Amino acid sequence: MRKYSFKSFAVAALVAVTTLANAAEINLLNVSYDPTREFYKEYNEVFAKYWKEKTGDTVTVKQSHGGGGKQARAVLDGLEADVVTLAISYDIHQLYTKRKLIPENWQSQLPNNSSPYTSTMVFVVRKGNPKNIKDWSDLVKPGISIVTPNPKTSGGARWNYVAAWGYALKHNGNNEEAAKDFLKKLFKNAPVLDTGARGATTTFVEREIGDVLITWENEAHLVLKEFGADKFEVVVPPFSVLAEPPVTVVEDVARKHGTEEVAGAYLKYLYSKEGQELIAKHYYRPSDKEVAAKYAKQFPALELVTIAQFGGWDEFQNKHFADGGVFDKIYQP
Amino acid sequence: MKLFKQSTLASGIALALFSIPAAQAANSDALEQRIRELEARLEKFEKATAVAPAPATTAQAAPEVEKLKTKINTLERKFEVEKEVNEANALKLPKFDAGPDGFRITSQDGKHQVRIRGAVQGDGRFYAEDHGGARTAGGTATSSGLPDQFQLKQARVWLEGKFFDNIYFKIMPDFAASDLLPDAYLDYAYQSFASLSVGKQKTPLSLERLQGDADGMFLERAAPTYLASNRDVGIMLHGEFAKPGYKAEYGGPVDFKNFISYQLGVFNGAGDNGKPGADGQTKFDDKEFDGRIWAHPFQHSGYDWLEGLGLGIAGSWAHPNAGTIGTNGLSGPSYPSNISQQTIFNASSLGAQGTHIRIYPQAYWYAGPFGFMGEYVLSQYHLNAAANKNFTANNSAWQTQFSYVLTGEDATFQGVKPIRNFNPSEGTWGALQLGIRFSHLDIDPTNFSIGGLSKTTNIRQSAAWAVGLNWFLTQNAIVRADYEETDFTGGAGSGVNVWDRPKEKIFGTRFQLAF
Repeated sequence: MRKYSFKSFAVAALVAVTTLANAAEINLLNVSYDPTREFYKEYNEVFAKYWKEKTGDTVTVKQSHGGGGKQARAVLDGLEADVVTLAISYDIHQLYTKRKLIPENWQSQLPNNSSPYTSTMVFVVRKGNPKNIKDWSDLVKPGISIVTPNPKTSGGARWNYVAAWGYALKHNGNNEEAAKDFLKKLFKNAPVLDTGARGATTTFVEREIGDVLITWENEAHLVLKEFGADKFEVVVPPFSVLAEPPVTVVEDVARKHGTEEVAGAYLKYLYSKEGQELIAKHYYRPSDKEVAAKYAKQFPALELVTIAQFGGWDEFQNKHFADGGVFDKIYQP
Repeated sequence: MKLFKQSTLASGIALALFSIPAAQAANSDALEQRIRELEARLEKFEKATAVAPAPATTAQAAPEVEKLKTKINTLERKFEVEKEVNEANALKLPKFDAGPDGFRITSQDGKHQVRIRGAVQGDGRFYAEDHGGARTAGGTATSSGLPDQFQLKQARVWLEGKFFDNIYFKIMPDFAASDLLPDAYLDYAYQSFASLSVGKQKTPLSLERLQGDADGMFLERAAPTYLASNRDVGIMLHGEFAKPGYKAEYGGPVDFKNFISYQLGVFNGAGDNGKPGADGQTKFDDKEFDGRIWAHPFQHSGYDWLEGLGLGIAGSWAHPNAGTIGTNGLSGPSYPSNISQQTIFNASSLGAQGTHIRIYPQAYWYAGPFGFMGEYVLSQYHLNAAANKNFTANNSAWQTQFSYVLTGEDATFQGVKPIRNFNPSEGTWGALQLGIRFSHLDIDPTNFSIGGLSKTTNIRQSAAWAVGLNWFLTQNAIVRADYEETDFTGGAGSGVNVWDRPKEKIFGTRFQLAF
C-alpha cells in the first residue's frame, strides 16, 4: 500500500480549503418565452452540476417565462436578465436597438445564428380529430374554432402567423391580398387570443375551447404527456415554418452582475452533446447533426418556410405587426 | 342532471358577469350583451325542455347545452385574458400620490419621480414704534418710517424629483420675490458618499439659512444668516455617511439625515447676503470655495435625548478684487435687521480688495418637544476705501434660539407634525410651539475709521430678542406670530452727532401653507 506523506496530505487539504474558500454562489436570471419552462428547469440542473464540477461554483438559475414580445419589453423596462432565450430574434434585437443592452452583432456570437435548436409549429386536436383537421386550409373553414396566441405579444404566435402566411402565399400564387384574406379568415375563427403559448394551451386543454391548437412542436408533445394521449392528438401539417429561437447574454446586465463568464458558458453548454440531448428529449429539434440523426424519428420531415424568405424579422415585423400593420387590418377583436 | 347543467350554466353566466373589472367596462359591454343573449337562449331552452317529453328533449338538448357551455367558456377565457392584459398594462402606468407632501408621480419601478410642491406665506407686519430709523439731532425719534402692512412674502410652486433613480432636480420659482428663481439645480447622486449638484442653490454655510424656509421657528432668520450668501451658482460635491452598520439615506445637496455629511462647493461668490444677478452671471474670474461638515454624533447611540444633536462647522474662502466697485461680491457687504428687513449697514461704497473668509461653527439639538439652534459667524473682508486705504473688516454675528412644543409633539429641524390636526368639532387643535431667540450683529469699527462709512446711517451693533408662537393647524397649514425688539448702537443722527438708531419693536404674523 502506497504511503501518503503528511506533506501530500497537507497539500491536498490546502487545495481543498482554497477551492472551497474561492467557491462562489452565482445567480442567473434567464428570461425566456412561454413553453420552455420544463426544458430549462431540467437544463438548469444539468448545467449547475456541470459548472460545479468545472469551477466549484454553485450556480442557481432563476427562470421567467411569458409571451416572447412581452418578455423582451420586460427586459427593456428594467428586468435584469443575465441571459435571454426568446422565441424570435426580433424581440432580442430590441435589446440592442432600444437600450444597447447587447452588442449589435449578438447573433453572430454563438453558432447557428445563436439558435441552439429549431422547432416548428404543429396542430393539436381533440382525440379522433373530429373536425378532420390536417392542413392549414382546414383552419379557415367555417365552424372551425382555432386557438393561437396573440402575435402582438407572443413569439410563438408570430411563428404561427409566418407559417400560415407562407402557406397562403404558396397556395395563392404569391398573391398577398389572397394571403391577407386567408389570415383574416383564420383569425376570424380564433375566439380568444392569449398573450402567450402556454396560455393558449390552457385555453385549449383546460377550458376546452377550440377544435385545434396551433402551437410549438414541443408544446404539442407536452400536451400529450401532461394531459393524456387519450384526449389529444398531434397533427403535423405537411407545411410549416422553421422556427429558430435564439439566445444571448444580456451583456450590460451580466457585466453589472459580474456574471458574464457563467452566463456565456450557460448558453454555450446548450450546444454541447448533453445540452443537445436534453433539447431533443423535450422535443426541440437539435442543431447538432449527430444528436439530430439519433432522434430523427421523433421529428417528422415537412416543408418549412423560413423567415429569411420574407426578408427577415425586421421587415416582417414592421409590415405585419407594427401598429397599423397587416395584422391590425385583418384582425378585429 | 338537467338541474345540475342549468345551475352550472347559471353559475358560469354569473361568474362571467361579476368577474368584469370596472376598468374593462367599455370592452365588457359587448361581452355583457353576448352573455344576455346567451341567457335568453338558455331561458328559451329551459321553457322548451319544460313542455317537451323528457327523453327526446334531453337528446336534442345536449348539443345546444354544449354549444352554450363552449360560448360561456370562451367568454370567461376572454375576460381572463383581458384582465391579464389590463393588469400588465396597469403595471406600466405611473403611480400618482397626493398627500401632505404634495403631488407625486412615480414610475412603476420607482426610478423616476416628479413632485409638485408649493408654499404661500401671507404676512402682517405691525410696527409699534415706526420711526424708520430716523432720529433728530436732539435724539428724538421722528414719526416717519415704517407703515404697518400686509405682505405676500412667498408664493412658490416648484417641481422636484429624480430621473434614473439618482439624477435629482429642483426647479423652484417664487412669484412673490424679486429673485424669481431662487433654486434651480441638478444633483447627480452617484453614490451616497459622492454626489454632485450643479446650478443655483443655497451655499453650505449658515445653518439657519439651510433650514427650509417653511420649517423655521421665526418669521425671519437671525443676524448670522445675513453674513452668508442667500443663493449662489456653482458646483458642489457632497456626500453622506451612515454610522457603521447602517445605510446612508439620500439627503439632498445639504443633508440633515445621516451620521456625517459634507459639502465642498465652488461658487461664483455672491458675497454676504448676496445672490446672483438677474442673469445669474458673475463679473469676475475669482471663485468662492465653500465647505461644511456636519455630524449627528449620537445618532443610533441609544441615548434618545442626544440622538437629535447635530454639530458642524462651515467656512468659505474667496479672493474678490474690485475692478468696479458695486458689483455683486466685489463690494463690501450690506446687512438688514431681522424682522423688519430694513438695511442697517451698507458698505457697498467700499471695494472688495482681497481675501474674504467666513467661518461658521453651528449646532442644533432636538430632543422630544425641545429644540435648540445656535451659530456664530465671522466674516472677514479685505476692503478698499480709496487709494492706499486698504483695511480688514471683521464683522461677526451670533444667534441662539430655543423652542418648545407645548402640545408634546417632537420638535425637528424640519418643523413640527401635529399629532392631531386642527378640528374643533372633534376637540383637536393642532400643535403649539413656543420659541425665544437672541441674536447679535457686530460691525468692525474699521469700516468707519478707515473705510469712512457714515456712523449716522450705518449701525455699529445690533442686539435683538424675539419670541414666537407657531400654531400648526396641520403639518401644512401654520399660523405664526412673532414679537421682536432690536436695539441698535449708532446708525442715526446727522453730521458729527451720532445717535442710536431707534429701537425696532415689531409684531409680525404669518399664515403659511406649504406642501
